Amino acid sequence: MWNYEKRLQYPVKITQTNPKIAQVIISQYGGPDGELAASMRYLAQRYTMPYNTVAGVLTDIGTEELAHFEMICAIVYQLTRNLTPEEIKESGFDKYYVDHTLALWPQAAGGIPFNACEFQSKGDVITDLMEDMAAEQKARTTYDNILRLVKDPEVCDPIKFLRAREIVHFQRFGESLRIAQENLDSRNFYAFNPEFDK
Amino acid sequence: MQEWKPQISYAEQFPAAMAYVPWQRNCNMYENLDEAFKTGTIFPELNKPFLGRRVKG
Amino acid sequence: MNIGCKPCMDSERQKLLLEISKVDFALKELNLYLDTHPYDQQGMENFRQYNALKNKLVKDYTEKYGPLVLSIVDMDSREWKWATQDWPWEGGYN
Repeated sequence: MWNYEKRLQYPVKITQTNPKIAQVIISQYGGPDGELAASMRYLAQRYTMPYNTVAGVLTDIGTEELAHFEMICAIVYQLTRNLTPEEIKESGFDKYYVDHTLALWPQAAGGIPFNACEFQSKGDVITDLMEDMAAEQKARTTYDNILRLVKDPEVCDPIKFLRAREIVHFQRFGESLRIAQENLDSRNFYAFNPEFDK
Repeated sequence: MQEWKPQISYAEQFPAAMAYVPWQRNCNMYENLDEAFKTGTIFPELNKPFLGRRVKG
Repeated sequence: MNIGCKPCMDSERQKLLLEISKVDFALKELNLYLDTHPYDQQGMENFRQYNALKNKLVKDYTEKYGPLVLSIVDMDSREWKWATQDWPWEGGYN
């Protein structure tokens, strides 16, 4: 089960609002390669993972991703705090504002709402770990894209932290795949699915 | 956690049609926690920052 | 342009919170490392040391400023600070 610590994993202190960039960064909240999708993906896959250490990786990274979408929400919240109607209209934030005012709601930058089609939990050890490695790279690429657009150091700082976490997570999922391989016959890793076949 | 073994051929150790991520080789941590925190990892081996351009050499 | 985050008024409080975050970060990194290296004795020893340090820092912070976790709450206070104090996304102390 989960407990909450009343603290962000890494500080977010943004003094200048910027609704234009908030609309882009929100993709890491509700978008297809965002932190919420990552968390739901890993936490869903862990139940049928037959290796305890790998279930541990999925649980612990899945939990860390909850702290990450909290950071993304804090970034978007501070970037859009106390906006005036003029600022909302001028920045194009009006399309989001009309449905949510200044509240956080998980959607991609393009408008697609968060949904379970943004991740897979396939129930095959090798497939799911490959999905997880790909997810971490997709998230890393999204942060690269954000870093090209954002120049405010107060925004770049937590974004760079989140990006670095993706690379570490990729390494751990890669190691988890090596653990799975050690438990399978290397002459044919695909002969059976340890999550289902006996 | 085995790494590459000289007695087994590379092809035998890493059969085709599969992906292999190397085990973390260097498990040293940053001495300075401040630096680790800002970087986003305690392991220098896993620090791969975004530069946005190719680096020559 | 408006101010996005709440200002932090007490730099000592912010410093202690930052220390906690740094130590907890080392713990998280070691947690993930040990998940795939479950017999690494040095890693486990490092984890134990940082864990003891974190518990001490969190207890200090709770006594001076207010709760960070529900399991360490100042039972002498007449105010349920968990709920009345600001939340971390405000940017003051996070």
